[in-house]
Amino acid sequence: MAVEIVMPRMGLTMEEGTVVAWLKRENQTVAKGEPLLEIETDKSTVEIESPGEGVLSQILVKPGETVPVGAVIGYLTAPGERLQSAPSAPAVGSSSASVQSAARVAAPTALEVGLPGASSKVKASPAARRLARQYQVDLAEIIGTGPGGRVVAWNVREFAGQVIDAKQAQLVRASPVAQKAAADLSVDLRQVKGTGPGGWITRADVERSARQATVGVPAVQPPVIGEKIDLTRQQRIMAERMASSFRETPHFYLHVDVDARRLAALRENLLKRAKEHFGVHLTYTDFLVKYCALVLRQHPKVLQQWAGDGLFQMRNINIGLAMDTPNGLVVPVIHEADQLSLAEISRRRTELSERAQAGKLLPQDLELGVFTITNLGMFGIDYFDAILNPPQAAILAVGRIKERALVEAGQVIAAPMMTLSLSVDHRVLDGATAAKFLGDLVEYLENPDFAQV
Amino acid sequence: MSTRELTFAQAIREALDEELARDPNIFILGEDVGAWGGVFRCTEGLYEKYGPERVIDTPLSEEGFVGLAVGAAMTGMHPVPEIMFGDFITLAMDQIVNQAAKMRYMTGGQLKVPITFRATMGAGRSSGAQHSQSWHAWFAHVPGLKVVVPSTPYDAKGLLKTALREPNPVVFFEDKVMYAKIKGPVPEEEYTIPFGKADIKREGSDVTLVALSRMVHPTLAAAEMLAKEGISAEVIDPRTLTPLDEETLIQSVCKTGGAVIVDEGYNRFGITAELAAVIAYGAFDYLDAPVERLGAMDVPIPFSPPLEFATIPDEQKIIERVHKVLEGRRR
Repeated sequence: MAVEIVMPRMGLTMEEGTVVAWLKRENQTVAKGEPLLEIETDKSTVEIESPGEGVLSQILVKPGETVPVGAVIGYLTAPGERLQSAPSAPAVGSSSASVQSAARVAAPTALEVGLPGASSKVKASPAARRLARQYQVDLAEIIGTGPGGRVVAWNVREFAGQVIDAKQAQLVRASPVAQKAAADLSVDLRQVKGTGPGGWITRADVERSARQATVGVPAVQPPVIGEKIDLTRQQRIMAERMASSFRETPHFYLHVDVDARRLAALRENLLKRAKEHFGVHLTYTDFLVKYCALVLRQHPKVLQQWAGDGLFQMRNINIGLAMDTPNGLVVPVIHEADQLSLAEISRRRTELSERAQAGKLLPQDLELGVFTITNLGMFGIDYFDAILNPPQAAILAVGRIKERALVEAGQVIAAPMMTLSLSVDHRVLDGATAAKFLGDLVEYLENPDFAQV
Repeated sequence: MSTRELTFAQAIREALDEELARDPNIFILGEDVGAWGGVFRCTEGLYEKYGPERVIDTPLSEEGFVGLAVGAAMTGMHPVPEIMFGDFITLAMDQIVNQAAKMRYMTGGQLKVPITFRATMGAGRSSGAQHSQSWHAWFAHVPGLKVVVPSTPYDAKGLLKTALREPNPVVFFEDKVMYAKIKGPVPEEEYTIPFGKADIKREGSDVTLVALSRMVHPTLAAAEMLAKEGISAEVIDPRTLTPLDEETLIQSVCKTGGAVIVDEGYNRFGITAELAAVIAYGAFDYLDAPVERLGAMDVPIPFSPPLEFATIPDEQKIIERVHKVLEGRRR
């Protein structure tokens, strides 16, 4: 029996994916779990493992082509087995809008074929079933990672988190052509009403929206001099998100100096032992993640997010870390950081950082953040203000630790100091609430022993 | 509170000594328990201290001396028959199961049977198929008997003292491999440990390991190795099978979502099956993987050491089962 290789769904908001490269040739043997191809989603590039053992007998979708989630992109057969009938390639997305809509019409059938268990009884652990009831999500929509594809508890937790996230992001469904048009015309797709099949946003919708917007607001004139630079996906995402955040979110900033003497001493004290016992290199960022997580637990209001028409309370303390990579800025997330020990945080941070540098972050690594820490201390920056990472209500900008003058008991002494800046969404938090949060964080940083109590 | 290190055998001996001194109704009987001090040195010096009427050497006749002890218990004594090799408790099955376990019920409470059967269990000494078995499950199956399976010198002493104050029959299983090999802190001061109270030997959050008697030690070693992989295992020792602390087991699995049960008795219809059922019932909605049962292989225990060790649980087998429970789960 030939096994279908389908375009997988990596995260709930993914509607289609692009084949970047096949890592095996046609008629080459592959083992189960061996890397088979790379696909690109709107969030990152992901390696896809072979769903089974056999021969990659046919490649239907070539590198650079985009197909809907669930579409068959190739076939795997047992050695020596022949494909019964040569299947025809599915409609493939290109810059032509008519081909695009054909692909979408084909999508539901491909989806039914491609995702086993959608209609039959779902294999799920009792814990997963309990959580699915609790979060009111459909087990059939969840991809299980347990033995034999069994849905296990964390699959549901993650999926449920995505559902909340997706509701907040108001699930934008737009064709790649429309997405490109939106990027070119600086149109926020969330503000565009889709008129395509199933509410999909088409290029015409984007163009109409852009024309309406220009009536009131003068369009930004492109500079006449200089050559246009092709944007990478990450550059474009950063530009769009930061522009919309700065435009739409009323920011305010709180600044505070932190006496880092005890924190520096604690890190010094733990550094060697943490290396020996846990094999981790503790950084100040690790301590910041730990203490932010503990303090966030005491200030759930800071976890709230303004989205669409109101406030949403987030529960899991997932802390994003802004990281500089060869491809630009990324913000991978340490999930449920309040449940992790300092060593576990450090290990997770190292792992994410390595994957970020290699461009191997998975979509789920970037999702569900509720708070972000950005640290430019290593670049010698004393302090700075950060732009909020939407839809989060707060972001902490961290400067370097440096000996500075500290006044203590009427004396000026030299002490390691650090300046924090908290950027806050004023729709969600007022000054007093944010100040209490920051005050408690400073309390922990200045008295790190207290965090153990 | 001052504490010293005692071996498992020394802890047993100390409990017997203290209770013999406390209660004149207590007496010990068994094969070589007297002048020789017991083949496992659990009664060393007691014959000299309490005399031949309270520490009695018997012929090789489990059915005889166990029957005698059950009768003595009915008259108000508290006998402590020792079954040197627990395998031969089969010879006294009727005396224990049909007599000791039943009398209080059948006489409407007119008779009590305060008796502590001490028996050994455990393989790993190349003692062959008739001297290596662990029969604790049989007695846990019989209503009217309490069954104790301690894992440390501290637990052994505290639980044996409780058994020796218990008005009902208790079958007290001691793993013979632990007698000289397992050492642990035991306070100088007197203490007892109540039946039916499990002990969390190590706290963890990713998986629950339930182990009893000697199996607690390889399980703790496995938990230590798992910690290096970043897996946090909780180790629970029920300490008594009847009564059983179901609550602690269930609560732990509700927290971790998965369990491996480690026992040296046979897997089939055994302790691992019963504990798995307790967990599956009580923590059903919290289980993220089937409960794994790791008991002795269902074969007569081989004499050849490599074959013998292949049949009983060890660190590596425990770790394999934990990986199975955690397959595909993110912690």
